[in-house]
Amino acid sequence: MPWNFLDYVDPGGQNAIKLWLDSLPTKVKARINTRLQHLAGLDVLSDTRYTEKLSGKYSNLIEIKIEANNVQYRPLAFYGPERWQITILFPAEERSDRFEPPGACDTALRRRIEVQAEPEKRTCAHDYS
Amino acid sequence: MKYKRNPKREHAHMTTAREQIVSSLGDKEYRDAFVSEHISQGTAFQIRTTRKERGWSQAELARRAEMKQARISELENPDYECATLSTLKRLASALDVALSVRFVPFSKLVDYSLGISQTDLAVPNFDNDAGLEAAPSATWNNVQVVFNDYLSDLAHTALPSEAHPDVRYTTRGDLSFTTSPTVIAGMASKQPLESFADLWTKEFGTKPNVVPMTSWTTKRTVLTSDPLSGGIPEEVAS
Repeated sequence: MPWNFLDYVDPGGQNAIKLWLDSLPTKVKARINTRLQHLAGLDVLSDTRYTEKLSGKYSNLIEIKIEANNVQYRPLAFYGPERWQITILFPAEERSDRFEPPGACDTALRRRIEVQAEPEKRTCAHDYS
Repeated sequence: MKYKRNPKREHAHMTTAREQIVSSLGDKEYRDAFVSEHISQGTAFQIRTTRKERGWSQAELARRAEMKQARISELENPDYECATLSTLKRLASALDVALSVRFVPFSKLVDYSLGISQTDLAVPNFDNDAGLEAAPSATWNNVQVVFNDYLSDLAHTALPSEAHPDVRYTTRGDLSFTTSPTVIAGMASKQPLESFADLWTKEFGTKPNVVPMTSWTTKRTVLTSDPLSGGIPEEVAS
């Protein structure tokens, strides 16, 4: 089934994911956007090569695994708010088996709650520009 | 609970996605990266998805391609960028699929990128390639129709919001939907898509044109049109 990626929109109305992508080198940005396009086409997103569900109190979150320029990008996301949607919540990285910055998962969880409370306001379609 | 589509919201997504990508391609560096990533990630996703569809382990594909398993693992890594053409040819042979290397206009790649589906990634082998069967005649077969931004809006206007048993379509934002023979026949007979057909005809002065196919995976009909240039159906191989 085809998936739709959404971006988290902060309380000020800014697309936080777009801001992050725009801060990255062009090639990295192209890699991430292309990854999302391919993931969107998969029937099932259970392959841990591409995404992985987090555990414990963060089990509602998934990490999207992308490596570029020796950086392990791990945008944190969740399935929702509607079926076949995945909302990208926070642009984490993985270093030495830990997410950076510290608190990335908590921030993502908090944002997930915000999105669920106001899905129309706090998400927008992923911006590929 | 049934998922209720929100055409307006989906349309908002789709109407901008293509424009966003096209806008990004204005930057030469992004343009080159876009092409590079679609080659490396596209082949990696295809190798892995096709292998899994066959039920093969990496070791099995490695044996068939006379490579090491570790090499297959590398080639399935979408962040790996060093697959050579000769390697891809060996894998094509091992998977018994064709390999098409062509220079194309950016618009082709953009439209492909917006409609990537499981059937693009899991490629049937020669023996299962329904597209090789005799050309379809009067019988409508499976057809995938991909609409661009503007036309998808028309489609959303016309399509029922709940799936009908005979109407097998899926949406990807506003990007595409896949129809069954019944739908296409419906287009021709103006049932159940009469409003779509009418809208199309009013807008472009021609009836919607679709091409019967023998498989979901072999080809698609991309209806690329915009209100300014008029509707020119274009068939592309996927």
